[in-house]
Amino acid sequence: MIAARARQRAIGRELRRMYDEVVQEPVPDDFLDLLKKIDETKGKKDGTS
Amino acid sequence: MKSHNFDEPSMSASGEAAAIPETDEDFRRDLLDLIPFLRAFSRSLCGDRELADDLAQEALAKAWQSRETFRAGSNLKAWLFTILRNQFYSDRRRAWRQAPWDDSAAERVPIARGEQTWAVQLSDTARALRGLPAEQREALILVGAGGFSYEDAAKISNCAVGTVKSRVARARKALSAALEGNGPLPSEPRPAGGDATNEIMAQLDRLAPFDSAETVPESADKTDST
Repeated sequence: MIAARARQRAIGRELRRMYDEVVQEPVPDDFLDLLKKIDETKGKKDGTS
Repeated sequence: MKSHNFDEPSMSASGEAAAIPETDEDFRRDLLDLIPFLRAFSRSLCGDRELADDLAQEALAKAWQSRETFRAGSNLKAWLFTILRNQFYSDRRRAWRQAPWDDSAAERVPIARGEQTWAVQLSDTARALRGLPAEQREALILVGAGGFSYEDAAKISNCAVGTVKSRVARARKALSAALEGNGPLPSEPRPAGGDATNEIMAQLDRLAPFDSAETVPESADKTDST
């Protein structure tokens, strides 16, 4: 029982760790350029602001 | 990069943007702020770093192109995750290799040098996670790691709240069983501020559920703007 709870806690911790590890990664540049590129490609079809 | 937390207010500075129409610039900024989370969710679905980033980029592009369908003040993160998730299931066979709008596939970030990826690092938990049915994995990640409420997770996964609950329960059980078979869990990860499960529970308690039963996350909940 206690072992099972401990295991669930460890699983939860590990899940968070894995997820957070990716969250903490620097965002690759192509992500940041992406929206701009789309706008250029689409020729501002969606309007400007 | 600033340190992101999954409950970080990322939709607006005020967190009360419900009635304020966002400009494209605001929207762009909000989207960009969510990229780390989008990547994390994508990685959890795909496993592979490169595929996951392809998928995340597609989702981001789609979100940007469909920005007019997003209702300002609703949960942008859930909306974005929904797009990614739908993309994942509809495009699974395509493997997100050559995204049509992306002519720079060749210049893609090289696979992490030294950086850990799930595929390389693969703790016991990560390996066990890979063995789960995608729906269970997704539910567990959303709720257990992403900090989404069951209600939000249900919206993202387009299923009933009870289904999410049962998926999460089954996923936990399966992981636990898998790990039991695999001997002790890998190490104590960095404590990172206490017990993650308690944190998750605290999160869950704080999270406000969507106040409507629509399948599209567009109600003006404040889940992400604690």
